[in-house]
Amino acid sequence: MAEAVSIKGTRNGLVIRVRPDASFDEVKSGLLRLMQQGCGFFHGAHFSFHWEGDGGDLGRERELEGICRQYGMVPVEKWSGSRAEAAAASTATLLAFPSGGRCDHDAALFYPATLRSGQELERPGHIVVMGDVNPGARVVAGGDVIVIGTVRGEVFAGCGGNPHGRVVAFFLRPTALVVAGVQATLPLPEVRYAGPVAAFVDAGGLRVAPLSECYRTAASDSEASTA
Amino acid sequence: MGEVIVITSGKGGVGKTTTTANLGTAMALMGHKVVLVDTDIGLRNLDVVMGLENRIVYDLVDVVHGRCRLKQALIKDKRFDDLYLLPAAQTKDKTAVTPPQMAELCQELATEHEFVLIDCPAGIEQGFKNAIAGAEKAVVVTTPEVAAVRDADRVIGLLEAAEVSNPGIIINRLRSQMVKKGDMMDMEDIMDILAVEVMGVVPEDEYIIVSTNRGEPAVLDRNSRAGQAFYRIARRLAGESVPMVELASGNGFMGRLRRLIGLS
Repeated sequence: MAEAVSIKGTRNGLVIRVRPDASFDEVKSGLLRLMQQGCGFFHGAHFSFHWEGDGGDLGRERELEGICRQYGMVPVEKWSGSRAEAAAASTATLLAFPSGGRCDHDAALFYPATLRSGQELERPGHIVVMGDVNPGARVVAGGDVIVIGTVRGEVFAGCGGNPHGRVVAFFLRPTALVVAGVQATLPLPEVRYAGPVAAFVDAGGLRVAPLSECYRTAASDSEASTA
Repeated sequence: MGEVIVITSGKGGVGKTTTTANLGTAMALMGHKVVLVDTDIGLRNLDVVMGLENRIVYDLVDVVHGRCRLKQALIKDKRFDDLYLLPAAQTKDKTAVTPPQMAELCQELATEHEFVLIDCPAGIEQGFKNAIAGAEKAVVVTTPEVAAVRDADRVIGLLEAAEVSNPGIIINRLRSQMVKKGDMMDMEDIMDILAVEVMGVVPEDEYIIVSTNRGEPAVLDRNSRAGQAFYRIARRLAGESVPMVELASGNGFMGRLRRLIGLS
């Protein structure tokens, strides 16, 4: 039988996974045991909860959060959206993002449909849209905006002073595009790339190029900062 | 229990009322029992398009407020066995009715009729909320223009949020010659943005202006290309499997010859 609570390290901090069929007492004692076994190891670590299945009760989550705080752990920012949204975002956190889109609020929000005219998504972290961003729709993210489809609406990435934000999509035909505070001149040139396209900011200003080029730029940036 | 279908668009002037009148008439021609409901309170038009404007005594607001019975307000179209109209009030505004009242009214109409077609007003405010309140299915009418498609997209989003299942779209007033020249959006362009099922494409047809002025829906005229397109859409809406027809201009010699010998 698996433990009621397990801790998984991700690049976005620790994710505390809770088994759905475990009783709350089991979860609580399991968490306490892990904290005691850690002997201060977790002190200062960022953490979030991931409730497998339908999700947990908010009151109980707060109680568990209190235990973690006692051991010096720091909770990552909570979503203001629904529990389902938070669960989706929590799952998204477990997926590794390619380096480059560094962001203080590194959890991502998955939106599982096309964003239609008049609809808006705004989050401090990354946003992934599993569909198109249609004309009249707007996406505002502190981190990256990844669109598994075509961008025809308004997209703002790297808001709030994050210079590493970028927009990635299959096709970019936005009505407004702002990356890390730099506004694109529209319409963008009609260039067809073999794969996804990215809009990002480098030394030369805002660029729209194949995603692979965006990775190369991010890698050379990180080498330069290491040196 | 009948099916309640709202005909909506967001943008005004795309042909919601014409579509409602023609689909309802086509369904009645097919032998279904149909009621058309005009929810455009304050700006009613469906009665004119159906040629029933001189027979209105009571209206939708009278029914909702209990000033008459539902049967008293329903106008029977004498040209058909089972086609009725519930007109909107002209002297009130959209706030005269609430969404729960509309939902109850639709429920009552659906017990007596196979299809309840609701003509929705333009916009997304109170009138729109009233119109979709009792609907279980939606048909979104758009023209091949960027503004109309964007509004249709907005409305589809609102319908999805209101859990009106699987809205279908009708592309109205398509000019195939303009599409061929690349001056107008085609079905594929519109599908690319809206990503919902296309229920049919209605070609631009001057006869629509004549028919709406006369109060005789275009489906009654076998020579009206728009009328025949509406008829095919009505059959699809009623559950028949009808293949999509490639819209050529049809006004050339071969088109006229085909129509003459009854091939199209």
